[in-house]
Amino acid sequence: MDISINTIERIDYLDFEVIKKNLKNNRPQLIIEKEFVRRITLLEDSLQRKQAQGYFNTEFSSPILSYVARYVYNNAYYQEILGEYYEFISKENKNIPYYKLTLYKNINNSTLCHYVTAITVRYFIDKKKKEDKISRKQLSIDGASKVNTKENERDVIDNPWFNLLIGNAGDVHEKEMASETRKKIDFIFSKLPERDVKVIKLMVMHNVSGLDAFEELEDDLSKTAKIPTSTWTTKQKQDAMALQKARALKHFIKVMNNEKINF
Amino acid sequence: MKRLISDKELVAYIDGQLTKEEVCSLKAKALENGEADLLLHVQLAALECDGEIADELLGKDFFMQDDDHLSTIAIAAKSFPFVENKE
Repeated sequence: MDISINTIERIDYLDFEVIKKNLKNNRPQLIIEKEFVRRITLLEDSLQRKQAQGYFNTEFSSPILSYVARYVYNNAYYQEILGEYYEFISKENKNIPYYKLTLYKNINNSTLCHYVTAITVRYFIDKKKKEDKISRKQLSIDGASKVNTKENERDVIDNPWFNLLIGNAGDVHEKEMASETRKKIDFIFSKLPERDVKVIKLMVMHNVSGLDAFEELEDDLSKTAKIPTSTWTTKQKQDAMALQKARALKHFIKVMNNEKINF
Repeated sequence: MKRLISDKELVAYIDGQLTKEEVCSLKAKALENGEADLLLHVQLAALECDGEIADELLGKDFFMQDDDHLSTIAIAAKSFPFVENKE
C-alpha cells in the first residue's frame, strides 16, 4: 500500500494501523519505516511512542527473537532474551531508546526488518560464543582436566560439509568431494524436492547469483507463485531466490535431523 | 587484522543482491574471521521474518508442514560443523 503525497505531508499524524500495514508489506516504504523509527525513539512519553514500541517489541521482533532463542540459544524462550535485546538495540546512546534503529539507512533498497535481523543475529551469535567459551574454561577448571577451549581451525575448514555450505574459495567441485560425503549429500538430495536440490547446487555449492538462478528456475517457480513470475521486478526475483535458498537449507537440515546424518 | 563482515554486506547477502564474485569473497572473509555460522543463521532468521512474502512468491512450504517446528534446526545447530567457528 503506497502512501499518497498528501498523507506524507502529515505523516507524523498517520494512524498507526496504516503504518503497521505498510511495514508488513513485501516492500515497505522508506518514509514509513523512518516514521516508525522516529516514533519508537521519541523521548517524551506519548501514545505514538507507546504504540510504536509496543509493536516493535512484539509483532515486529518476535520472529527474529524466536529464531535466535530456538536456534542460537537451543530452544530458550524468546522472553528470556528480550531484556538483552532491548539493551543491545539501545546500546551506545542510552539517552535515545532503541538508538540502533536510528542507524538504519536503507542501503541497496533493503528493509528495516532485514537490518534488525542482521545486527541482532550477529550480536546474539557473538554473545553465545563468548558464553560458551567462558563455560568451557570453567568446566576445565572445575574438572581439573584439560579441555580444548580453542576450536580446531583446520578441522572446520577441511570439513566437506562446511565447504559445501560456505564454499571454501569458490566452487565446490564434485570430484574433489570425499565419496562418503558425496553419498550422504546425494542421500539427502534424494529426500528433497527437486527445486531444493537445484537451488542448493546453484546458489550454495556454486555461488550462482539470485538473478542467474532465477533464470534457471523460473518455469518451476511459476507453478507455485501467487503472483505471475513474468511480472516480477528485479527485487522480487532476488527476494524470491534468497528465500528459496533459505527454505532449501532449512529442508536440508530437516532431512539431516530426521535421518540422523552427521558430516 | 580481521575484516569483519559489515552490516551492509550482511543485509545484501540476506537480500540475495550479491554477484557470484561477491558471494565468494564474502564466504572467504567469513572463513577468515570465524563468521561462517552468521551467514547461515541470518538467512534462516530472515526467512522466519518473511514467511508471508515467501508464501506469496514461492507458494506454501508443504515440506515443513508435518514438522515439529521447535525441534528442527535447534538440533542441527548443535551438530553442524559450520557452527564451530574459530575463535
